[in-house]
Amino acid sequence: MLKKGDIGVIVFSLIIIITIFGWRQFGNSKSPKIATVIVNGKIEKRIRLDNIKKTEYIKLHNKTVVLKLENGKICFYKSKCKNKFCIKTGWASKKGDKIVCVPEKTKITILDESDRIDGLSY
Amino acid sequence: MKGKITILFLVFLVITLSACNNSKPFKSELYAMGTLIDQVIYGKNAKITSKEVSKKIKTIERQMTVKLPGGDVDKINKNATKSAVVVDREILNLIKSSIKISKLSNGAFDITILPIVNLWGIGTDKERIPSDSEIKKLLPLVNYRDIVIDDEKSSVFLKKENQKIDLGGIAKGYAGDVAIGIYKNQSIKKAIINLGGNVVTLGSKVDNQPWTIGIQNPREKNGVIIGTVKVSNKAVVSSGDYERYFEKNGVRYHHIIDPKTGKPARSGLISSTIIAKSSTEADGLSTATFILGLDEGMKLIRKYKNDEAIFVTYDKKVYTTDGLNGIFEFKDDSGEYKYVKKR
Repeated sequence: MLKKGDIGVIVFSLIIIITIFGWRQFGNSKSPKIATVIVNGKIEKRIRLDNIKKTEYIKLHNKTVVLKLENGKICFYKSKCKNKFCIKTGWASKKGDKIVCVPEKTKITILDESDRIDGLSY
Repeated sequence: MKGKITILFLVFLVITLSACNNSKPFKSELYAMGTLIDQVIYGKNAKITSKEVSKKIKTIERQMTVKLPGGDVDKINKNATKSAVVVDREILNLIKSSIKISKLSNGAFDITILPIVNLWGIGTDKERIPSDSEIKKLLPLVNYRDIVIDDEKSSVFLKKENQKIDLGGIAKGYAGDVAIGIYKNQSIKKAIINLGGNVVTLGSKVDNQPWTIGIQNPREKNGVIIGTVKVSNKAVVSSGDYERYFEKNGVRYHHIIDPKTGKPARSGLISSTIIAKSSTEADGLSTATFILGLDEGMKLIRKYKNDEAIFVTYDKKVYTTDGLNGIFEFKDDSGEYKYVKKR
């Protein structure tokens, strides 16, 4: 037979479990638009794109890449790479967008938690 | 008191188990083979397995590169007409696989194309339009029949002076198959690796649904798709005129050279995607079918019974093989493409 104290423990435990699962499931649902800049596999910056007031330029640590930011979008502005494919690609502005500079090992992604696809064949 | 402790223990057990279930994958990225390689691996050996794969890919790159000296392929090229070069069994097998695709595609895929690829230099700072006479001079060097294989000695010999092979058209595909082999050895059941657009899947997703792979819209920026395919245990590899190219006087000069003409292939296709069990095969066939064009490409793909294809033509029509019914979903937000299915 369960005692009053036991019921208290169960209720308390249930609250903890529901909170944890609830946070996991729905915690990111109101996600802002965030660009993640990854250099050589390591996250260098996370930049919130939806409240940029004026054009900004960001020099990365490796000093070979400069990024340009405007409200809601980000792009490669300068890069020491040969072919400048990264600059030619233009803006990343939508969730799921990705721009890569292979020679400079730099990737910009705008994360989309509800990814429509698991991989892109190109 | 005993009851409370039991309940508390159970609660923490549930929390602990839910925290370390395998629904969250391990993700890694690597810059190698001139591209970005993403791995997403589920299971408890995920991290160590991804490192093993990265290490192996770097080894493959070293052995196969023609940009730096010291690799097996570079040695084969430097010893053309001089001597047979003993190579790693893996390289030998890959060269044999390439020759098989060359034969079946009637030479549309040919790894001896390197002298012409170097002449154009597309995607490098030396890219230019060579003269017809320059191309004509080098074309006799392009012939996969000049590759002499000695299976017993594991050696490769090139018959003509200045002849050069390049496994670049198939190496990423091969690396994908090797990665899947390593995943299996490590008892990984679910994983996906993307080698610069060559997507290779192992098993299905956590929810046991097939993986959804987007097919790039050939005239839009990276990430914009014309449709998706749902696959498990398959590779999805695309070739197109949009990957590396330059334009002059309104003409697009892309990196996929037709071994017959020595010029960027003008077959009427702007992209060719192959879905196959073997990523190596898919890689070689995507190039071969792109060069062959719609009709000949369809004929070639029929020789590979379990492989499927998606072809996009210059006039923005999308064709698929019969086996993709219900697997390929046409999703073109641009509204510029037309899905005509069968040829």
